[in-house]
Amino acid sequence: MADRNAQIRASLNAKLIESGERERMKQLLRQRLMEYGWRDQMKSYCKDIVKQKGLENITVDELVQEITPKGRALVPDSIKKEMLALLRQYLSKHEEL
Amino acid sequence: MIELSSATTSSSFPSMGLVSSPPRSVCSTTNSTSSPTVVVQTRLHKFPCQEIEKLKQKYRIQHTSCFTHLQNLINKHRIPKCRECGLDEQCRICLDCSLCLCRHHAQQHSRLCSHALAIDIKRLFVHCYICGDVQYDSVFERARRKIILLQQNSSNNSPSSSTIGGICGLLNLGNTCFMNSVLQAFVHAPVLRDCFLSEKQHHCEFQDTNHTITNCIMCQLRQLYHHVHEGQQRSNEPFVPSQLLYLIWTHENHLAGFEEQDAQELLMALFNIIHSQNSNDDVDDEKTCSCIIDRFFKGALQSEITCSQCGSVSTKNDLVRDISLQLPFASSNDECFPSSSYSLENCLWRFTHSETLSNFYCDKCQMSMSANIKLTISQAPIVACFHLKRFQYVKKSRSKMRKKISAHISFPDELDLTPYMTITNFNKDHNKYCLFAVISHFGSSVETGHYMCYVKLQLQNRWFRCDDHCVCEVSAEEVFKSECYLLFYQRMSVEPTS
Repeated sequence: MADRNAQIRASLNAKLIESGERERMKQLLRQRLMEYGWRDQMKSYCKDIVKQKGLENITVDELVQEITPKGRALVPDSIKKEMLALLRQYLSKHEEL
Repeated sequence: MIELSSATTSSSFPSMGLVSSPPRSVCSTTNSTSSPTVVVQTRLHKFPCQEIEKLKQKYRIQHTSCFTHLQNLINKHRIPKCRECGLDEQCRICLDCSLCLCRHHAQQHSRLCSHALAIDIKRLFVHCYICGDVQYDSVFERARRKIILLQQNSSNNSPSSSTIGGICGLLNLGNTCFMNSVLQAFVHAPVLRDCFLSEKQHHCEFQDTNHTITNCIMCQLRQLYHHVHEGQQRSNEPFVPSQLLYLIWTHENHLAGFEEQDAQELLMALFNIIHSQNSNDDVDDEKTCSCIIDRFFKGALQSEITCSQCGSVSTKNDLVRDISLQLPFASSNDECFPSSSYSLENCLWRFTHSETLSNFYCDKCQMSMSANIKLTISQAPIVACFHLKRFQYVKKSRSKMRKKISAHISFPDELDLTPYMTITNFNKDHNKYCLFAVISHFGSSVETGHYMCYVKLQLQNRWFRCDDHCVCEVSAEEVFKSECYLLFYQRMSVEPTS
């Protein structure tokens, strides 16, 4: 059962990339996150971390590591629902999966 | 300097070989340092980054721009994939050797080869492996913004994939934009359409001990034509001209290799190959050769030399396949034109303007005299290719780079060659030409620059920019503002080719 799921995920992913749908969804996601103010939230969080740790003591990689968990948590539910709906729509259109 | 005041180290990175003092830890806020000999930190922060400074110095010496370098690297890897593991996410390009690698392998590579800098292929930020962090530099930032702007513009302009027929992109195989541009111009010559699309024109009699289609350039070109015109059905996949490239390499060795070459040299090489593979066997009679080069591209220049002493005139006719024009300000003698009005017509005027030769041996006078030499076009070809001599070898530098004269030369959409022709040619209507392709060069030298070809789709009178595999419609304004290098005109009233 788990194998079948993994297989579906892999082929869905491949199909999404091939058709350019993945890229379009990514663009849409970026736009939505900006509209909902998520980007600004993350920006100010980054600034706080840099102020706290000191400019000379932080690398980009470390910063990314720090903000990732909070970033994931702060994504609004409505955006998650929208993305899932898009995926479902895509799946239903391409039933051969 | 910032380094000294905040007690960071001097340039004692292990990779630079100086071991005078060990790296110190840095605390910028309190400005205190730990004891000199004990602390060894793995992380170093330096601003400005030495590696970036070294690279900028290299740009200055090589007369290249950061933008061109980065743009070329990105163009090389349109479909980013890590060389080692094939991963296509978060790839980086090494600024030293232009390898495309994923983050993990990029880090490995930087250690193994001591290549410090890499750019992220999507976001274009510069990562320095010695500093261990992304670095900000104003020069790179400007280049980065420019590239992103261009990318946005081209993605805004790209036509929806299935609506454009009769044009398609050509994949860059490693600095082959010079070849791609020439092929695009060639393929869009209106007069060649019939040759390549009708079945009866080329019977492949290419006799070779190992005769395969790949040896015959006409068959190869026909393949390209078919791909271009069936592009719509394949959602405009770019054509991969690897066989054409190989053909050209085997016939013209001096163009082989993955460095950027001169597009005009390639044009001549292409003509040579077509002619040599398709010329008739009568060696002495050049006039009856029926290959497409001689039928459509061959012209003749007449040089008329008049001895200033005895007035005798000697005339010579040379066959040419393109017309190479010096730029009107190239030598110090040319003060005729103000710098803001360089045009193709100026260049042609200079070309056909009579000049004085100081040491001409006159047969009649039996001695060296000064003479007047005048060049005119005695036979204008059906397809006229004009070559603007922008590239010059830089004598002093060791690198043998061909530096470019970067000035805007204007050119017309319609050109009348009558003023430049030998007087005996009275048929005025026969000399009107219409532009169909422009190869423009971007950058400051052959080796670090980029070629793009603008073609006009005849039936629709629209201009398209062919940037390797990216084809998109552009305004005529962009075409006429670009730095043209090769111009392709076709005569307007052409007799039907039977």
